[in-house]
Order: sequence, then C-alpha cells, then structure tokens
Amino acid sequence: MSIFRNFIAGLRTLFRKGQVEQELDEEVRGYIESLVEERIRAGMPQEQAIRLTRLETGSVDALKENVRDVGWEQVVGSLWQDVRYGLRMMRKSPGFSAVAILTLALGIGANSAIFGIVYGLLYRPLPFPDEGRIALVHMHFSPQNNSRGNLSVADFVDWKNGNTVFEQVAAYSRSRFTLTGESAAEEVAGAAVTADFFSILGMKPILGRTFQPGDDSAAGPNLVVISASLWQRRFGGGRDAIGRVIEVNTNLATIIGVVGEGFGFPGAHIELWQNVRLKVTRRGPFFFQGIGRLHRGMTLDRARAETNLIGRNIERANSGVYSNLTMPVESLRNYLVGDLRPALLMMFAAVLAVLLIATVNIANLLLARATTREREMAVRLSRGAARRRLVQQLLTESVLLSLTGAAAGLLLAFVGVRMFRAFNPANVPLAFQVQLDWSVLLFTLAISVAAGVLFGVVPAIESARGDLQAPLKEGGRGGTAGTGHHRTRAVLVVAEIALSLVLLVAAGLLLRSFMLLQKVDVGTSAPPANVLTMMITPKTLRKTGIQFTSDNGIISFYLRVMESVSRLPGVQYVAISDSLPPDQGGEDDTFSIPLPCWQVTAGPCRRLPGTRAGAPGRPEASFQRPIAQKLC
Amino acid sequence: MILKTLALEPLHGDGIGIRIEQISKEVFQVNAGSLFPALRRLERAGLLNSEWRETENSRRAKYYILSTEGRGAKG
Repeated sequence: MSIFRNFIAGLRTLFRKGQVEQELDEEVRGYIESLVEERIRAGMPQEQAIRLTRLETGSVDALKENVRDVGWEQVVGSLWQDVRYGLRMMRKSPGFSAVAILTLALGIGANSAIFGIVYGLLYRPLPFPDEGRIALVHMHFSPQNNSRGNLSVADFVDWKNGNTVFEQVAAYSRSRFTLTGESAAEEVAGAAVTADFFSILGMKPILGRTFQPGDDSAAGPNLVVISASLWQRRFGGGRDAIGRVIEVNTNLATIIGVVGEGFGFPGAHIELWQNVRLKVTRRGPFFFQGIGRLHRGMTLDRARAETNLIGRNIERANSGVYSNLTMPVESLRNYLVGDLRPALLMMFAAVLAVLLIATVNIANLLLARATTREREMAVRLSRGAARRRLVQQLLTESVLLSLTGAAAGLLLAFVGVRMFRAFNPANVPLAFQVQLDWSVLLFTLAISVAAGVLFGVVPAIESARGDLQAPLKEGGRGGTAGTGHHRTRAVLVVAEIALSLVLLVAAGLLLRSFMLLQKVDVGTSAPPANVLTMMITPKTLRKTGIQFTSDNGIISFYLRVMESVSRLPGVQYVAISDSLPPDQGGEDDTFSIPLPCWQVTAGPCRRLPGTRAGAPGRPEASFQRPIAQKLC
Repeated sequence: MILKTLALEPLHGDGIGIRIEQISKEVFQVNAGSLFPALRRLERAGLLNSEWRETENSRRAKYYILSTEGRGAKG
C-alpha cells in the first residue's frame, strides 16, 4: 500500500510542481512564524525571536531541498534535468560529439551485428520442437575416412533394427529432382527421405499429410511431399494438388501433402521430399545421412556408445567392406553450425576488443576536455552541490553519448545482418536465424550503457574531485590539467596501445593462416590453373535428346563427350569422374571402372584412395586439362 | 517519536516539535531540518495522513494525523 501511495504522491509532485512547492513553502513559513510567536508570547523581544528562530531553522532552501529529496520523483527529476543539460553540452561541442558518436557507432554497431550472428546461429532455438533431442548419425570408416560419412540403405536398415537409444530414426539424402509433365520442365532441390523423417523434425503439413510409417516399404508407391513455395508456383496453390500424379525424374509419383513455410531440412531451398524405398540389394551406394530423435533423458554419450556397438556389428557382418567403422552421433545444432563455433566466438571477442579500444579512446578525450570545464565544476561545488550529484550528471552525459552512438550503430548492424543473410559467406543453412530483433536490441542497450559508464566514470570522478581554488581565481581557465589527470591519461593511452597490438597480431596470424590455406597441396602434380572442370547435369543431358534408359547409352554418350573435348585445341588429357580431389561432392560412392572398358561392378562399391574413376586418362590423382564430372 | 506524539492528537509541524520536546523532557531538541524530511518520509510510507486546517491563530497549517497503519506501527 505504501508503495502505491508513494508512487501517487511522487506523480503529483512531478505534475503539479507549482502547487506542491507552494504548499511546502507555506508549511515551512508557517512553522517559522508560529515558533516566533511562541517566543514572543514567552516574552522575548520580537527582533530577537525572529533572529533566534532563523538561526535555529537554518537555510530554508537547504531545508526544502532535504524535504524534496525524500521522494523518488526527485531522482527522476534530477535525471531528466541531467539529460537536458547533457544534450545541451553535446550540442555545444559538436566536433567532439561527432567524433565520439562515430567511434561508438562503429564499435557498438559491429558488436550488435556479430552478436546477432552468434546468437542466431549458436543459441537461438531452432524451429523444430524439442530440437535438443534431434541428432545426426554418420558413418566413419576406412578407406573413405570421412568423419561425417554417409550410410547406405543397408546400413540404415541395420541401424534401425539394432537401435535402442532413438525414439525414431530416419535417413535422408539430398538430391535434385526434375519435374516434367504439363508445365515446363523444372529442376528443384529436394531430398529422398524415409518414413519417420517428418515426424522426427516435427514438420507438420498445411495440406494433406506427410510420410508415415510404412511409406518407405520396398513395394510401395512413389510419394512426394512438396513445399508451399513449389505448391504455389507450379500447382497454383489449389487443394487439388493433393493426390495429383506428377512426373519426377521421369517416374510417376503422387503428391500427398504440402509443408508450410519455414526451415526446409536438409537445406533452406528444399522443395520436394520423396519417399525412399528401403530395398537392400547391396552394401551401397552411400548416399544417406541418419537422423533421429533421442529418447527423453538419453545423453549423447550413451547414444554414441550404443550406436557404435551397432557399427561394430555391421563391420563384423560385412568383413572387407568396412574397416575401423564408427558411427558418430552429434546433435543437430552441432552438425549445422558446430564447426563455426570457434571462429564465431573469436570474432565476437575481436569486436569486443575493438569496442574496448574505442571506449578507452573516448575516456581519454573526455579527460582532456575536462580541463575546460574545471571552472564550471568549481562553481557548482562551491554553491553546495553534492559531488555525487556532479558525478551523476557527468555519467548521464557519457551514457547519453554512447546511446546516441548505439542508435547510429544499430543502423550499421542492420546493414551488416542484411548482408550476412544475403551472402551467407559460410553457407550456413541456419542463416535465416540471424535477425535484428529484441535480443539484439537488448544487447545493444546493455553494451552501450556499459560502455558509457566505462568511459565516463574516470573523467567524472576526476572532474568532481576538482580543486576549488585555482579555477575560481581571476583568469582561471586552467591551462594545465594537473598531474593527477596526466597520469590517468598516460595509463589510458598505454591500455589502448596494448589492446590494439593484441588485435593487430591476431589479425596478422589469421591472414597468414588464410594465405597458407590457399597454397595447400591438393594432391595434383599439375598446376591447378591448368585443370578445368565442367559439370554435366540431367538438364544439359536432356538438351542433347539422348535417352538414358540403358547403361550402354550412357556410356557411349560419355565416350562421345570425352572424344569431342579432347579434340579441342589446347586440351592434353580428358577424364571423367564423379568427384574432384579433394572430395567436393561428398557422395563417396564411385563405380570403379577398370580401364579401358566401362563396366559397372556388381560388387560393393568402394573408392580407392587417390584414384578417380576415369577413362581413359590418368588413374592417378594428377591429371591435366579438362575433366568432366558426372554426378553418380 | 513523531508517531508517539501524534497518537494523542493531530498536530501541525511546529506543534509536533514542541510536543516532542515536552514529552522527552527537553532531551530531544527538535530542529526543523530533521523534522520536516522525517514527516514527509512517514507520510510517503503511509503511516501518516495530512490535511490543511486552520490553527488557533486562524492561519493555514498542514496537520498530520496518524493513519490506521501508523497506529499499528507505533505498537
């Protein structure tokens, strides 16, 4: 109750200042008068009574000030006063203010942008329900030696059958699908997924349904789920899209559902999901990644231990195919952005350091400027202002400066975030999670207030400590800043240089690492500049009008391609492969084709280290001049 | 002390001062500089209410009255 009363009374004072003042004045005056009257009645002569009472009461102004200080509204009122005063001071020295604000804008803006990126990528909850339980499973074995290697259908089935730690498991494989039929042919990014895929991710359909258990059985029909964007673009967004039969990669498939806007998994632009048919014929090809939802309370470590057991069983049951097989399990977040974490955190530390340098810089500038305000401070102190009040006012000015800089910095951050999302330099699928929203605003507010206090506190305390005598003397404009100021400024300069040096060294080391990376030996003896690569995709194939129904048709086509290319001027060697060194596609499976005739091997597919499936050209890992890459 | 004084009857500032001196047998010398802030603090805390009345000498003065909470707090 009393808090309420206090609040109301304070408001009254703020808004009816005149009346409250008048009342206070009247009350005090009445008090004095009645005291005087008392004394007169007691026999004291009037003059003495008045004088004595006045002496006792003391300064009326100070009394009133003390009474006013009781209310909370006083603090607010004085803060408001300080803000207005601070704004006036800022305008009075535009040059200084501009420099400070610009510096702060750059420093705070960079921090806001990087924070937005770090938070968005590493910490903001993903749009999947209970994402902490979603984990990715890979296969890591020799000779592929890919720590995030793919599984084959057979591996998935073995894993599914032996799994105990996951509530549900699924497999998916990214692919491109060509849609033909009524409308113009179109190629979309898509994925082949097993039945539990959508339920693991919690992706719900906005029309129709998604896959359910049984949809991936070996003998079932072709089914697809499409994205809302594809639905609008190609099927007019009508309800009749469900049940429609379309041509996907020359096969007929039925649309069973549409999935809404939002994160497309496994990639942002995935528009079509087709059901995988779990048919185990051989131990390959290795196209799939495993994904699953862990049981509640299951830890990653336990999951790893158990899943690796399954891996060992697989290895034992298929000797010769795998060696040193492990099945790594990692959380979804880690898979998506885990590799970036060290780099991101380092960037964050770097921009924080930059802001620190800016802060120290401005503190120095403020100290230098404090000498010109010595007189002002001295006058105020001599009139009875509390030192604390002076410090409060100076700090308010500093925070005002940094808040203004922060506002300008937010503009910069906005541009930065926009650019990050547009360019997506690290090709992160989570780029859309980086947004300028409340979290960034809150962070910016916090960091700018902190910066303001940080660079303001030392100059404020120095100023309020001021010597009263010297500045008040005649001609006291105070040329010298006093030894106290000098030492503080020297310390600040040293700090600034130290921080800048640290940043410079770190930047230099990073640049050097980057340059070395460019020169990494890729394994080719030929200068990379002389090797040209081209990709042959179904789209280009379609243009040639060739039918790809038989293996021989494909082979003869490629032979023709190699022949024509080798006849181009300047071409020394031609080869065809399904991946380039170092492995770019990630689709590890290759048909090993013995030279010179092409033969699809019926046995398990394996990739021989350092070999490219190629013909006739060079089987070693060095080749010159154009190679054509065919997607397996 | 103020609460105790006002328990008897509502008073205005000066009266409170005098009364405190009386009650404490002159041990407490009340000075205005501490009296008025204290009065306002008590009022903000809800232990006192105030209203303007006419004094004996037909002057306007602010009277302080013990509120129900104040009565309880005085104990």
